[in-house]
Amino acid sequence: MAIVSIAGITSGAARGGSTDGPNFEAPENLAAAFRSVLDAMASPGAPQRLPVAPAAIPPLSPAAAMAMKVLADADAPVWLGRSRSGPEIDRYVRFYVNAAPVADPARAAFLCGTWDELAALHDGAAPSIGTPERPDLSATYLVEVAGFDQGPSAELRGPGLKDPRRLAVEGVDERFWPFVAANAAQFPLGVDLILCAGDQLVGLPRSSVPTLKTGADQEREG
Amino acid sequence: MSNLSEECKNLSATKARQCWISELSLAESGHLRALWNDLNVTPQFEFLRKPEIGAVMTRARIGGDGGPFNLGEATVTRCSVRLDTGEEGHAYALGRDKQKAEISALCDALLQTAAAERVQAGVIAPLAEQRAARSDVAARKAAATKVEFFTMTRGDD
Repeated sequence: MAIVSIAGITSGAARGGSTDGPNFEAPENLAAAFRSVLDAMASPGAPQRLPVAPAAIPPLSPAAAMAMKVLADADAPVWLGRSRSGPEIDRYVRFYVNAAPVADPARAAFLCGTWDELAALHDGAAPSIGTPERPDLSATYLVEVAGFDQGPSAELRGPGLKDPRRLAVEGVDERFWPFVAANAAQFPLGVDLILCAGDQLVGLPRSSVPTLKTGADQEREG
Repeated sequence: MSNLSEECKNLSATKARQCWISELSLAESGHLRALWNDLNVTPQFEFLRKPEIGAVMTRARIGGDGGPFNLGEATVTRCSVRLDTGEEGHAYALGRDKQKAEISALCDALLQTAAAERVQAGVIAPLAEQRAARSDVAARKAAATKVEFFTMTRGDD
């Protein structure tokens, strides 16, 4: 059974109901969030701010929560890293996203966690990188990071980038950009990444190729 | 599905809840609204999901017991609430009536609290009664059209 919302204004029949804040489930807000995800993928490395998102369920960021809401469902399940496995987040994924979390990363369409948790997934439990016939069936990482003002950075080139764009990611370590480069080398296979910080999203599709900075450059920028 | 005179009492907790949610879903909007206003309660609650209208794909089986197929889309309105005391109420109803969904969800929640008796007597019982009466009228009308075949000879020539 699939329910598609086509209207979302409260009727207010009963007194006393709290309706503070915009309704993140209202169709116009879901559509705006989906558009943000599309823009993030179309303009790799450019942060997109979500106009409306559900309240954070710490440590799950509003951006990751909204990305799951508009992308995942019962047929496109979610794997949650240990840091995002509390009962409240589990409840959010089951009730609002309508997708029960899966334990096996290989079966997940979306994997949400910190970079450490995602980097730890190797062969055996490796997420899907798609097949030559169906590269689109690969997994998408929702990487929870701290921000895009500082941290290990790289220059991105590829579709959607007329000029190379520099992206810094706070909350990842020295394995991150080599991983992105190795992932891009597998094109058309590989995973896509959506970096989430607060209410911002950054897209890193597998078509974006990073130019790695040397260790000395990273030390200088810190 | 409850029988005509069921009042959703004296059943296991799950069956009782299924029974009253069924009555609320099948309720006629105007009647439910009137009963709710007469009840005159102002529960403190928050929306888990504000009333929203959507579509569901209904499934059926060929010949009633054959292979499944998509019968068609039906418009459904749903709502979920949580009382300040923690109980959650959910409602799904055919049609586009958001008020009905909201009231139904609140009733579902209240029926899990100490106010259950009041809501049972004030809302669920009258709904069940009226639904039974409607069924009765429909059954009588259908019975009036029944044709008795007293003799039937089958000719083989």
